[in-house]
Amino acid sequence: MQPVTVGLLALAGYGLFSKGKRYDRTVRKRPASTSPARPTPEPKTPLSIADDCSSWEMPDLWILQTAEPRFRKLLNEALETTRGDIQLAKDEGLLDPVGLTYAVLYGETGPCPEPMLHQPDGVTLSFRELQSEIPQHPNYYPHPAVLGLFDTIYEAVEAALSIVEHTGSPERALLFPV
Amino acid sequence: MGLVKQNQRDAVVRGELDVGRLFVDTRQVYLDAKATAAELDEPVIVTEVMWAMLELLGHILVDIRVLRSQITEGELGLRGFDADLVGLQQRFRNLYRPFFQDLKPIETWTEEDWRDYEEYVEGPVLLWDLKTCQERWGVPFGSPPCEGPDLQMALSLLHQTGVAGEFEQELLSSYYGFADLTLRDIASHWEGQTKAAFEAAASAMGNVADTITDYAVQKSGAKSFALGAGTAIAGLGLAGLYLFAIRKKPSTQGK
Repeated sequence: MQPVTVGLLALAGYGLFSKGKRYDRTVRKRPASTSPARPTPEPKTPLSIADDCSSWEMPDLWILQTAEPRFRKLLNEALETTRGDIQLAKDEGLLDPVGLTYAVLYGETGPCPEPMLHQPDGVTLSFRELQSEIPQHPNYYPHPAVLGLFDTIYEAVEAALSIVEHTGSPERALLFPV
Repeated sequence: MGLVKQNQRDAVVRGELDVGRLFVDTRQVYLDAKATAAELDEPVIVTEVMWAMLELLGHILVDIRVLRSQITEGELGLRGFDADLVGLQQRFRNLYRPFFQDLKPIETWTEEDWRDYEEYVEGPVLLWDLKTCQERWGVPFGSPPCEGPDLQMALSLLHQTGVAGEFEQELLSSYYGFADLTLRDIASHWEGQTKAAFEAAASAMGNVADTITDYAVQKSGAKSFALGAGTAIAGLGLAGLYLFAIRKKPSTQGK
């Protein structure tokens, strides 16, 4: 190889190389208008429940970070199990709104006991069967606000499942509409 | 509205969505409609096109919510993203959507109605930047203050969900295609120049749907190629120089 050829080749190579490097530097300096930073995880916002279980507040952030993702995960898992067969998922109890409500609220009620009563005869009463009016009654649960919280989620789950059922499309079923 | 072709899809998969340009083009559809409305003295064009924009925003919000729920499975928050999404959703729910419920006939709007429209809908959804939001936000409904045009924020949040490579172009194409259909439906209730104005806005939205892949900024494929080729040639050249020097060495010693 002639020295001139080698020199030219090296020069051309360096030129292209430095052009690429230059471009890289420019790209890094440019504000990321087309490549926004991917969101980074942080602790989620909790559901707000009074220590005496007398009231609660459901922030939109809690719905977004906890309720909706949990519901969607369970919905997706159920439909994966039945290969998208919504009716089969219902028949097999995978889309039972009571069960889904407990799953959405699992560990979220703070100091308040879960509204579920295991009776001596082996029967378990869910928040649907419990009541807060008559303390002497066997299905008594002392925190009406917590029952109200479970009912709220239950209604949202039912409404979302109804959309899934009627549209046949789980993709757009939100626990709480926009 | 055409289907996205495989090569267009591949281009988007390689690229990144240019959110800013997509927003600016969308806003331009509204501004053009607004100019036509002024020209024809038909203010209904303004509000109906805005209605189509809000519908677009609503569709984007639903999908962001669904996508968001698949990211952390209920045990984590996403810094900044969640707060932005909640704020946007609250403004949509408390302000933008209610504004169009039980809307007074446009012919009866007073100056105050138009000012409300500008401050409660048009500004925060499409026209105001962050600074203007901070200066002019005075909504007493408990909604979080706007942070720049909300349609742009929605597009940006959708992009941040990280689905660009797989679904983003189909989602966006369908939103804009739907806006096209909405505006054509509105146009069908009108005649003459007003109808033509709605059809023009519909076509503009349809055009965005058809050319959605044009809003992808190519990643550094060509740049990487230049860098790689440059490195290879430089390496080859240096190797040549080295060999040349080695070959020359004995003869130098011989002298």
